[in-house]
Amino acid sequence: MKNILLVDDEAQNGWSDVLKVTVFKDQKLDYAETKEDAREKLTLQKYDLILLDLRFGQDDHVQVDIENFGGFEILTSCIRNEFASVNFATPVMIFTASNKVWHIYTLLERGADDYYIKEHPTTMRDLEFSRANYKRLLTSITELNELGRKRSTVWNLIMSIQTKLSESIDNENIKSRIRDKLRVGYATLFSKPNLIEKSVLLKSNEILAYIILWSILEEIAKDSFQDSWVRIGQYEGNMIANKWIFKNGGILSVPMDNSDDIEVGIKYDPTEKYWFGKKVRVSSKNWEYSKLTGRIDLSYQITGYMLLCKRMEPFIIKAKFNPLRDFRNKTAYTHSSIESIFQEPLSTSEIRDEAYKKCLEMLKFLEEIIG
Amino acid sequence: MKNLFIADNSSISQKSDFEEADYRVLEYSRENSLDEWIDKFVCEIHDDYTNIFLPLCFGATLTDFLGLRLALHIRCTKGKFQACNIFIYGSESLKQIIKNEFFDVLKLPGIFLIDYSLEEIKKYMQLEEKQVGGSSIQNDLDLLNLKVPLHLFDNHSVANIWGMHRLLDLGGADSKTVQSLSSIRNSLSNIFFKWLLAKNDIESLRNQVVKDAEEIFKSYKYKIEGPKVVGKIDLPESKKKRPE
Repeated sequence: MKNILLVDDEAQNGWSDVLKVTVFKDQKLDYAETKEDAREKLTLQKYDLILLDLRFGQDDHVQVDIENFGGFEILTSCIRNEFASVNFATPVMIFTASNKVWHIYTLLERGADDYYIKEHPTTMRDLEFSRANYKRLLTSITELNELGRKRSTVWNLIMSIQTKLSESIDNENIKSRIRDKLRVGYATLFSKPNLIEKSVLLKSNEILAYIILWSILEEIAKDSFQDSWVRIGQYEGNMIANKWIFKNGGILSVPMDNSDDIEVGIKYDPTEKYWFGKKVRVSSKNWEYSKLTGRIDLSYQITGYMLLCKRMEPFIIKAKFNPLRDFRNKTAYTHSSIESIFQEPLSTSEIRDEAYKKCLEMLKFLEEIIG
Repeated sequence: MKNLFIADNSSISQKSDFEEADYRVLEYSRENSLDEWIDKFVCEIHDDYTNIFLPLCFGATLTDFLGLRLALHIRCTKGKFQACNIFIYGSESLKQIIKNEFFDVLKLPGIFLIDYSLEEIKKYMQLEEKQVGGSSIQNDLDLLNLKVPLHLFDNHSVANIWGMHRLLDLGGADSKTVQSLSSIRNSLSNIFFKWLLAKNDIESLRNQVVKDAEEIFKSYKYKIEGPKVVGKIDLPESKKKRPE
């Protein structure tokens, strides 16, 4: 059962009941008739959908500037004011009798998701208007329910990751970059490309969001090594051996000869030339190596991080990390694997359809390895 | 052909003058809201009349020409008699009533102002056909342009009353089952809203609206049902027992 909030000064005068018997038949419909009531409810409770009237009472009706309308104030100061707001991810439908397009545009810019224009005798042109307006209301509500479900899932994961960040990431700059990337990922995932952008310009917010979220792994890896990105070992034309030192003393060794394995262990003695300790063998047989990007570094580093810092078993890593890496290699918007970058179309519909799911998997993965 | 003669309670006419017509007397009291009272009066008419005759003036203030208002109520009230010929009888001249807010009612097809004379009324009682087809009423009513009632302080109230009723109507809901809507129901007996409702009657769209809603619900149901898993569910690698 969905939990819906109607913010409207006429809620008790009929709107609440009208909506209950028409479009929200089996849902829980709460209401707030004043700004104060709305503020309190929106602070204390998470809703699945908010219907927000634009003007409250006669005071608002003498106002001309939209920024002085009660609905605008609630939207900008209680709902979309900060990412951590309880109802930040909740879809907002403006529920108004105003048909002023510049008002609608301003509200959409400030984070409203859609609008319903209450029918007014002076704006109604014909019966088809009524039919279309009603049809649009029903469609919008179903779409907003779907959007709200997706956004809330992602928002909850991001909030959980953000909470865990302070414990597991040392570097303040990296911590801040991860927070920023999570928000950029959220914004990219849920901004709405138009049909031209999607079909003609091949834009897929889901794929772009995935790449942004993937790059958080680089931040984690960077935070995990003593001297990140500086390898110990020889580098002469072709890499023959790579080693990275973890902050906790662990060493990751990636032999790039004919071996299919990487080895990770805890350094036994800093003066020793070679490292000892627990060795974990991870098959890298199917791992892709891009000379263009050097992203093999990240794959190995994250694997090493998971093995050592998160104490995960290789088969768990295989199940969780490898599919994410494989998908990243398919997304050819930026660097991709050498097998796909010059071979595959830039963005196939198959990848697009899968990208939202992969974003979720990535966030769950991040939550797990950061936590 | 069936006639209804409506007389004012101060009317000099007698029921016996119109033996072949139904005869009703208006008993308007100022204690009632005018439109509510007229609406109730009109809604009590159930028969299908070809011609209805009503007085131009009734009530306490004869210069209100309430007959014009009553005529519009009849045209805007759903019923068998909605498309009947309406004859408004009175002795006032057009010059006297031209400034009345409902003067334009006389422009509507099938509504006529006639002399208050027995001969004249009996002549029109012989008319056997309605001049208006039921389906043209909506278009006819578009000829009028009624003003928003003064007691609704601003457009906000009009929008809310109309908006709520419209949504109820489109959603196929019965407003009578909802207690908080009693004030709306009362407002809807106001001639301004009755006129709006009559000229924007969505009945002709009813089937399409229901079909639209069903299609939207069906597509959403499909979305929320999610993927179906049939047969054995394979466990992810991480859940499988670690090999020895």
